[in-house]
Amino acid sequence: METIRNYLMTMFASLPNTPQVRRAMDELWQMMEDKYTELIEEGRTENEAIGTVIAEFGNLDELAEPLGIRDYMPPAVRETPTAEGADSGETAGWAESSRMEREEYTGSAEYRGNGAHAEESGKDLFRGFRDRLRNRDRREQREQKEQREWSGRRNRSEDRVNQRASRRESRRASRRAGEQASGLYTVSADEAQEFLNAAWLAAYLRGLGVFFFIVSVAPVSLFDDASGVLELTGMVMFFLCIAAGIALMLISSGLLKPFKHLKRRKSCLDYAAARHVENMMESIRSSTMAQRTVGIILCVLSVVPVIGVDILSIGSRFLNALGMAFFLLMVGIGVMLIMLSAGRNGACKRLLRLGDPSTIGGSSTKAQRETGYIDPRVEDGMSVYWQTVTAIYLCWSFLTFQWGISWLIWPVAGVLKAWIDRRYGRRDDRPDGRRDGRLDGEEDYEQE
Amino acid sequence: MSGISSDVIRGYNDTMILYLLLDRPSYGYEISKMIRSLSGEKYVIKETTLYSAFTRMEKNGFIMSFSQLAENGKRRTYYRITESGRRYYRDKCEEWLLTQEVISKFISPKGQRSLTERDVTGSS
Repeated sequence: METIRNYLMTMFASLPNTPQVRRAMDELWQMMEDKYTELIEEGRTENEAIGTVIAEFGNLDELAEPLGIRDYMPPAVRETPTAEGADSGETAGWAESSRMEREEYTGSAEYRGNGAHAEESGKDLFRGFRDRLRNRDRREQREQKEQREWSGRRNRSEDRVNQRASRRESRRASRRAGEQASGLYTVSADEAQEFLNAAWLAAYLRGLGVFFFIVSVAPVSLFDDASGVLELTGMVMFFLCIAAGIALMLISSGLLKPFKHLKRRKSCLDYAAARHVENMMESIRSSTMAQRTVGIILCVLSVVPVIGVDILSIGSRFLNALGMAFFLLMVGIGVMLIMLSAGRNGACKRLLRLGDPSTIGGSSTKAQRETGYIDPRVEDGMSVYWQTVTAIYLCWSFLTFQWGISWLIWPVAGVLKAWIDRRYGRRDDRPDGRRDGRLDGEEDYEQE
Repeated sequence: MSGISSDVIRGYNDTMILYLLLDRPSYGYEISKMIRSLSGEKYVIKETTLYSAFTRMEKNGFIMSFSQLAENGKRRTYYRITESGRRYYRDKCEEWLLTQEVISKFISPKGQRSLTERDVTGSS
């Protein structure tokens, strides 16, 4: 069932999120669900039922006319006339019109060839998918029989693993089919998880880097008085901290390189992946909240050592420096925690933000509609926010050598980011974005 | 012979759907199931074809949609035929009878022209 829903969602991923499209999706889903349920009741296997439902689904471009979405049809669909479209001039007209703008129309022979070819490939797609499923069914049955003959009782857990693998494979096949139809690169749940792992590690490293930047001043002030070797140690430690910070920053930005294609290509999460990320975000909610709270408390309390030393007025310069060191340490840890929580949340949001929010694929779950910025320019700017802050910090510090003050940029940047998120963040108040991607029965669609 | 060409049957999807709605409202899957069984499994209508026919006919006022709780407790969209839908159906039936009459004059599975026809052309 999940496979079929994912197939449908992927198929529709690039279409605009309008009442008509949602209604079409709803009703197609109703029909597919009914058919699937009945096939299962007739005793077909899950894979067989899925294969049949998908093979008999038909062609998306039949819906272009009733939905008024001709312009939104991705090229893959637009250039794939249906079986009946290949010969009739009427359908051929619009399938062709977009291509004609780009290249000279060289005659009907060529078009006919193309049309036939496209039709062939469309059929192949379904046939290929169905065959894959059937073959696997057969293979599975054979394997199971062999296994039974081999040993009287099979290992139960192994069986479960097999089942899960087959389900995963059919999911992948359906995604590919939908992908070819919609012309979008869709991110699977597995790939989304890989991205999250990398992005969270990057957030840790980045937080640690900032921590080093902030505490780098501490050894200098600590050994300010001392002479000779100790002062030198302070300087060396300072530069080591800066070096470590820069290294961590570089590594962390390198971690996400393998995922550049998500940004370069037109992509979106498939339905299962969107749900997965939404769940992940929900599951880390309390831990990131705790991190942020502790971070803020540490920042606030950081003045205590300094004031404490001052009030006690012991007057020892060393104690003053120690107070200062503690202060920096607490701010460092605090800012690190705040950045960590923001980074982990941000990674989920970045995934959910893939895809055009006005399309089905970009708004299939509730969380997807709540992330991101309204203004695309803000969006672009914010994608390099921490890199920019790092650059400013380093330039400022190295040019003026006021390391004692320049670390302040980190807390300020954190607060500024929170403000920008509040001010320009997309909230779920768009009139067309009310609905959840859930497809259970029809709801509030508009009637013409 | 490899099944029905969807190009030919396309003009009559509406007729089939309207026929099935003549005495009671119905919903998507039921209609597709009835088309399949009434045609003796010779014609399977695609989901997208069915849905585009629904929207087109609803726009033309031939059918009306309403949602209702099904037996299994789920909401489902049902379709009901309208008066103008019935008129359209009768028109289509007449059109088909005429079409059938005309086309059948030119149908010869054996690939030979019939005698009577040759006589007609010969005398004129």
